[in-house]
Amino acid sequence: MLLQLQTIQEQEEVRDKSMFKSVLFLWLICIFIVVFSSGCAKSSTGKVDLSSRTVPGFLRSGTTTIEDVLENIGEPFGYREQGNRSAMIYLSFQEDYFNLLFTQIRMEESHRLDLVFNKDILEKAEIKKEGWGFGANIDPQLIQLLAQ
Amino acid sequence: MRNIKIITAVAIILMLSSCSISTFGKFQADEGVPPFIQVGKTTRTEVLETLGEPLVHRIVAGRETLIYNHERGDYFFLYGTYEGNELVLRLKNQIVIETKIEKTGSGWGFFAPATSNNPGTRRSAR
Repeated sequence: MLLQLQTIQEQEEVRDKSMFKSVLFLWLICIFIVVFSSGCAKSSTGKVDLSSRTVPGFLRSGTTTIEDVLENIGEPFGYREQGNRSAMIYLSFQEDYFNLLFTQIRMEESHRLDLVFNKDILEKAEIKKEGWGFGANIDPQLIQLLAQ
Repeated sequence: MRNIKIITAVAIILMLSSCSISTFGKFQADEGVPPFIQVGKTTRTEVLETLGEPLVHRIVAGRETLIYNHERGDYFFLYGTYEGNELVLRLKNQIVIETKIEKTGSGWGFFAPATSNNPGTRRSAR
């Protein structure tokens, strides 16, 4: 009778251990899926970061020359001359992207720096917000599958 | 049993891993200014013959300027990067008088490629 009881206890212990291992394994799989199906990315284009919407410090109306600008920022995206006046355009674009399981979020922002010169001397510097974007997406096929 | 676990682990890693390299442009930014270009010697004709038509050809502040761009995107396993550069050449009397490489953009992605800026996708520095 005692022997039988001991055997039952041993069997229960083995079962408990096996159960614990299974639960742990399931948790590990869940963590693995969540970690490996998430991601993030960050990218930017443009020779000057305009996201703070402040004009670069070295730009001063009446003193800064085209040469100063070319030296400090680099070749502009756009350039145009008309008589004594000329204009430069610099673009700045930032993008953040996140995805988790079946959800995606994308945020974009774009700014533009306009510089106007008169006889190669800076006359006006202005930053404009050119555009922005926000996108969130939940995979529709997955929702259909879940609904079924 | 041990072998099955190893095989499963390797299979999962292989399924999750991937890699891609894409490059766009007529010069290689990581190699620096093309060695045939010598300041004060190389002519516009030589540049055009060797590199081809530039992306931008204009006069900036009275100086002839040629711009070639190069973009490169790498993605390996879990991490991706993007970098854009351009080669700016200034000419005087059809001779190269200044060369420089300027960075136009960069990006990174963890578990996701920095896709929007990769060559051939919707947004580029120019």
